[in-house]
Amino acid sequence: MVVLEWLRYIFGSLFILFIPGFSWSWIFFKKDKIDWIERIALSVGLSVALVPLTILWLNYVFGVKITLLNTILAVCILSALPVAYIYGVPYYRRRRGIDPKSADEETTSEDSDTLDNQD
Amino acid sequence: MSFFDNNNKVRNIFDFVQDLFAALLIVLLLLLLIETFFSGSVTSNFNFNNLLIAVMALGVLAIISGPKSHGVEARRPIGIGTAIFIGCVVLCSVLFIWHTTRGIGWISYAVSGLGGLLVSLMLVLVPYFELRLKDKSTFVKIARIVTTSYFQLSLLFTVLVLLKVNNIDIVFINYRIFACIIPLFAIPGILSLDQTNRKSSSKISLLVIAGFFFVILIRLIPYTGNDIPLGYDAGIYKYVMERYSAVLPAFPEADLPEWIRGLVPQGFPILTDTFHLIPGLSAIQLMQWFFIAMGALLVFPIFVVTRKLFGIKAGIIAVILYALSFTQYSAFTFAYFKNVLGLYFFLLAIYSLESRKYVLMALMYVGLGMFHRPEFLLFSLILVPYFFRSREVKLLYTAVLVVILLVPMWLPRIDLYVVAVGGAVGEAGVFFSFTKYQQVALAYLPFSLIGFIYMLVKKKWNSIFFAFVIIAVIIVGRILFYDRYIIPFDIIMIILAAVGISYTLLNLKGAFRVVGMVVLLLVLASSGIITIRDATQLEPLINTDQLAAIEWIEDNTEEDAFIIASSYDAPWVLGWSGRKVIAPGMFEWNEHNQQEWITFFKTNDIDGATQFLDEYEQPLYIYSSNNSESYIGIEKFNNQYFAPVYNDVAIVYRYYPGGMP
Repeated sequence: MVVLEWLRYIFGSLFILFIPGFSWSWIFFKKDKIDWIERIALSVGLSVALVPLTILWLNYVFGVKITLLNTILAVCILSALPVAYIYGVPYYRRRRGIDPKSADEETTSEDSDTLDNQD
Repeated sequence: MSFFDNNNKVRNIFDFVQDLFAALLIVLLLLLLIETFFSGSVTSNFNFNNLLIAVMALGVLAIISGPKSHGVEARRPIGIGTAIFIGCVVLCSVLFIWHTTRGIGWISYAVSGLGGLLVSLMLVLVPYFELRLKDKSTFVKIARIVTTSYFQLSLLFTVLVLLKVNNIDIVFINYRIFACIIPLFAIPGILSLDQTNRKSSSKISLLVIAGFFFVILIRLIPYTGNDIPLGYDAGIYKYVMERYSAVLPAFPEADLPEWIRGLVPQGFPILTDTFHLIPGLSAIQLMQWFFIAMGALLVFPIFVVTRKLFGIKAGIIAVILYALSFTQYSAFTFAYFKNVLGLYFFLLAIYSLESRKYVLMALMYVGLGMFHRPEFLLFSLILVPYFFRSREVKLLYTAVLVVILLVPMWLPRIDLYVVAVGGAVGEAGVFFSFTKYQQVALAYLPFSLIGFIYMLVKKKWNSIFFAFVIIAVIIVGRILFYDRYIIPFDIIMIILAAVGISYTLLNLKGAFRVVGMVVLLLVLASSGIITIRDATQLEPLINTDQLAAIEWIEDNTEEDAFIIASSYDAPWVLGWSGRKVIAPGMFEWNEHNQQEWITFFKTNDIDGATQFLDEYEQPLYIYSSNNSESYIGIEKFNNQYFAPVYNDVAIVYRYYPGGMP
C-alpha cells in the first residue's frame, strides 16, 4: 500500500506539474527550436500557470465544481488541446482540400507563429 | 610613444609618482602586518583609510602614466635572484596568513598553503603580462595593466571574503568600498570585449542537473531528523490550504476572512487543492516536498534566461551561484512559497519577453498575478521602459489578454489589492535588511556590478537591466516592501555576477583564465560556506514539545474554542490546532490594538487581564510556548480564573470568567 501511495504521489504530481505544460510547450516551440532544459523549464511553468487558471475559470465562470473527476478531466483536456491543434489542424486542412504542403509548412516550420512573433 | 614620453618634465613627475606609489604601498602593507600581529597598535594612532585613499589615488596616476621612461625590457626567464625573492615573499605570505588564521585549526594550513600559491601565481604573472606590452598603443597598455590589477584585486578580495566568512575579519578594510572599487578596474576589459563565447554544449548542460540535485540536498538538511516545517508562515499556509480543501468541491471566496483574501491570491490554494485531490498530498507534505522541488526546479529558468541573454557559461555560473546563495536559501527557510513560485514565473516571463513569445509571456504574467502580486507589479514596471524602448504594439495586446484572464480572480478582491499596495508603501516586509544582504552576497557583489557595467557600456537594455534598475530603486529608495524585493533582486544579482565572472574573468586564455577560475572557486566557496553553515545549524521556530501542546489543543478543546497566543506562536497555533486564534495584529478575531496587547502580556494585574479577556467569546484558552521571542507574563494566570489544562514545556490555560467551577 505504501508503494501505491508513493506511486500516486509521483505520477499524480507529474500529471499536474509537468504533462499539461509539456504538451503546451510544443505550441510555442517546435522540436528543434529549444533544448530539453528549456522544455523542462517551460513545462513546469506552463503547468503551474495553466492548471489553476483553467480550474479557476471553470469554477468562477462556468460553476464547475472542483472534484477529483472534474480536475482530472480538466487536466486531461488541457493536455490534449495542443496535441489536437498540432495534429488535428493539418489533418483537417488536408481533408478540406487546402494545400497540404502549405498547411504543413505553416504548422511545422515556423516555430508555431500562429501564436507568437518570430525572434 | 605616448604624451608622457614626449615631455620629459611631466615624465619625471610621473616617474616620481610611480616610485612614491610603490613606497607608500609597501608602508601600507607593513602597517597592516604590524596591526595584524599587534592589534590596535597602529589603528589607535593612525587612520588607515587616509593612507589607503592616498595609495589608491597615486595608483591611479601611476597606471595612467604608463610604464617608466626606461621602457619595457625584453622578456627574460626568471633568474635565480628573482626566484629567491619570490620564494621569500611567498614564505612570508604563508607565515602571515597562517598566523592570521591559526585560530580556525587545521584549515589554517590549507588556507595559508593556498594563499602562498596565489601570491606566487601573482608574482609570476604580473611581470609576465607587463613584458607583453611591447609595440602596443598606450591605451592597450593601460588597459592591460588595469586588467592585470583587476585580476589581482579580484583574487585579493575573494581571499579576504573567504577569510571573513570564516570569522577572520580584517576590521580595517571596508569590504563594501573594496567591492565597489573592483568593477572600475574591470572597465577596460569590458571595453575591449568584442565577442563572447556562446557555444552550446549538451554535456555542460548536465551541470544544471547537478545544480538541481544540489539544491534539493541542501534544502533537505534541515529536515534530517525533523518533521516540523521551517519558517514563520508555515502555520498560515497550512491553515489556508486546509481551509480551502475542507470546503471542496466549492471555492470559498465569499466566506473567506479579509486577511486570507488579501494575503493569498487564488492561484496558490487552487494549485494545492489540485495536489490534494490528485496525488493526495497533505498540506505539510506540500510545504516540505513541493516547496523543495520548486526551489530546485528554479535552476532551469535561471539557466535558460541567463543562457539566452548572456551565453551558456554565464548560465552555468548563475545556476551554481543560485544553488549556493544564502538569500535564496533564506527565502526557503522563511517558507516564502509564493515568492519561489513568483520567481519561476518572473524568470519565464523575462525569457518569453526576450524570445518575443507574447502569448507565452501573457501566461507567465497571469501566473504572477495568480500567485505573487509583488513580482507581478515588478514585471509590470519592467514592461513600461521595455515598451518605450521596443515600441512593440503586441505588448499592449498581451497586457489586455492578461487583464481579461485575471479579471475573474482580481475583481472580487480589487479593493483589498489597492489597499494592500497603498499599505506596502514605505513598508519593509519581513526579510533581512539590505545591509545584511550586502554582507551575505559580498563574494559576488563586485561581479554583479561588473555585469551591470557591462550592460551599461555595451548598451544592452534588456529586461534584466530594467529589473536591476527598478528593484535597486525600490530597495535603496525604500519605496515599498523593499526588504522582500531583496529575493528577486538577488536573482538578478546572481545573473549579473555570472555575466561579470564569465565575461571578465573566464573570457581570457592562459594564465588569466587560471586566475579567473580560482576567483570563481573562491566566490563559490565564500557563498557556499555561509549557506551550508546556515543549513546545518537551522532549526524550526518551535520544537516538538511546543507542537505537542498545540496538537493537544486540537484533540482536547471544543471545536468552537478561541486560543490567545503571541504573534510569534499564532501561525503555529492556527495551523496545527484548527481553532480560532486571537493574536496581536493578526487574523479576523482580534479586537485590540498593539498597545493593549503589550499591556496585557506584561501586566500582573488580574483584573486588567480578565477585563481584556472578557471582550472575547468563550470557551477561551491561552497558549504560552515559553519561547524567549514570545513573552507572555504567566504570573497573572495563577488564580481562580485560570486553570492550567496542559503544563509541559509549553502551557495551556483555560479561562473561566466566573472563576473555576
